[in-house]
Amino acid sequence: MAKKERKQRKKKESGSFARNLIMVGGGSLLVILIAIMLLGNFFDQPILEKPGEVISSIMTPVQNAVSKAVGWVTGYFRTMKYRSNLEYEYEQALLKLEEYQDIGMMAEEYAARLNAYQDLTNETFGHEAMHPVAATVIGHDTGNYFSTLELNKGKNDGVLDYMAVVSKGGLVGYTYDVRDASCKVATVIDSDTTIPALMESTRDQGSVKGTYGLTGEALCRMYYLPENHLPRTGDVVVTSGVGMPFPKGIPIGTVRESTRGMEDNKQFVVIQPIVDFQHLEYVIIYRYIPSYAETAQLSEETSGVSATLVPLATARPLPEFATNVGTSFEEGGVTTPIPVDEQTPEPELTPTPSPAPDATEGPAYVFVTRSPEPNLEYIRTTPTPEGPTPSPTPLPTPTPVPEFDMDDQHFEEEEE
Amino acid sequence: MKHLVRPMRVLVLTLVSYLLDVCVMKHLYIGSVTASACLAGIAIITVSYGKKAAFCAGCIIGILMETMMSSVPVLYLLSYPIITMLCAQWFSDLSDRQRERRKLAVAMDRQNGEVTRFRALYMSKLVNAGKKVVQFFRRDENLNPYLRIPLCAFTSALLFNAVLMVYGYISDFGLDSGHVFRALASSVYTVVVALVLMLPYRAFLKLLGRRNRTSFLNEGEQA
Repeated sequence: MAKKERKQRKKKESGSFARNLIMVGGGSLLVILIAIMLLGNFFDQPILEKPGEVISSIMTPVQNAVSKAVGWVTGYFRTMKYRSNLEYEYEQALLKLEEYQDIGMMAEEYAARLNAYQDLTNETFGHEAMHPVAATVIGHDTGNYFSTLELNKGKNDGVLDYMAVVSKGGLVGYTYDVRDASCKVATVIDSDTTIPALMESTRDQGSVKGTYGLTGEALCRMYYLPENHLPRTGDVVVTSGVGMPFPKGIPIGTVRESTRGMEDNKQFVVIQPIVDFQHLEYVIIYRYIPSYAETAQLSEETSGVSATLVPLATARPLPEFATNVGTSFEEGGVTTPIPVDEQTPEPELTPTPSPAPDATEGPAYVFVTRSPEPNLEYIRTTPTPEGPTPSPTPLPTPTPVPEFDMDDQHFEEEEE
Repeated sequence: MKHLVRPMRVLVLTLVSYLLDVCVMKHLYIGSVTASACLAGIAIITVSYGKKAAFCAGCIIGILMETMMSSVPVLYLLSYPIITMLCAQWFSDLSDRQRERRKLAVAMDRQNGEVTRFRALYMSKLVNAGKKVVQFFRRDENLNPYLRIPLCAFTSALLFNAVLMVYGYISDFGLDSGHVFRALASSVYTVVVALVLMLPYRAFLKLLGRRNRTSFLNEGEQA
């Protein structure tokens, strides 16, 4: 037992001695190396720089390889980070793009709305004498045979039946079935609509009728033109102001095809309306009552109310219209009634005792008793639609006929 | 040949620490502050294998840094071994002789009643806390190595930065609070690196989960 313990102790001591020897030897070697390198800093001897060169030659390839490996790994991670940044920025860019697309769409919408308002403003300020009022289209007749609109203006705004409705410089139709806060519009393309019109160039009169119920197309036809005149394609058709309380000269459309003379059974010309009926949002109602329509209008609207003319002490000032009054035969080609004299007293409406008006029936009803305006002619504020501008058909000039007066005749023979 | 295993392990860990320091840590800057993987590795070797191994590792790192990366002559060559030896004095395992000597000193203190007298005289908490610090450095047992490694790394990094700051002060670099902050940040970062490297290094040294080197050696000898 003692021998075994002695053997183990001897083994332990020898192992410890060897370990110490290695560590001390290694440490001494390192100290010597440090000393040589220290001396190499102070003495310029090549042999003192040898250990550094050896160590450098060994370590440089190792360090180079490790640097490359680490560089590859870090490059990979850098690429990953770069890619993730790119993906993030791409997503952000997509979000921005969607945002800008929304903004662009809104801008387009606002631009379209602005154009519509601009047109309305131009129309309104260009024809203030016709008492325009802007209205919004709140309903369309979606049928296949009729084309009517519903507007958000009615009697409360002074709208009456058969008032002209225009949009972008073209006639949309006329009002009918007027209620307190809304009214309906019979468009010019409706088959039941007939509007007196004339060719702008030749001043030939006729009547325009819609074809929507006949052919399903948003077109019009012009009937009752004189037989000796053949309109050209592109001729502008305007309202004539005859027969209906319409301002004169509102463009309805242009002649699309004129084959009346070629076919015997075709007694009309096809008119392309100016107004785009598919995209109507805002319109203008001209609350214009011509003087010749006064009596009929008042008698129709004031049933049960008798109007008596009461002379006033002072004349009512009338607004001045910077418009050309269509009284000339040469301009309009139509004899218009004489405008109302400025001294005409305002008619005062006095209700008769019988029949008494129903108080419960009347809502917020403003009965407009605006005096009729002098007959005005529509002045175009918007350019006419693009198309071939026809040259006016030359009218036959009257051949001068010599007039003879028997008193002025001298005969030489008699004198002689 | 069997006795060369430990020196070879120390050599390998030292080289790995050096390569980590010069090749990897340059990619791991945090706010222009980097850590010293060399000092972290030396701290692990110091706590794990003792003073002689720590000195050898310090010398190897110093020689390599002086040869390959030196910008100031002799600075790395001397500072690494000296700092390593200083930290090894404080944080390496106590030898049997030291442990016995401290045990005797503590026993004698208790016998003389110095501790009791100390408490009787100064009852304030501050003095008691100071006394605990004194007792920490006069302890008769080794601290947990997983606590000593970060402490050793922090101390060595702080000393190394102090040496660099002194060199900068001598060279008229114009020291300010920013340098001190950077030194502290670098030391803390070195502690973090030491904590990260601690487990794989000690696993390589076959010391993972053991309190100290002596128990491992005793177990080996008993086996």
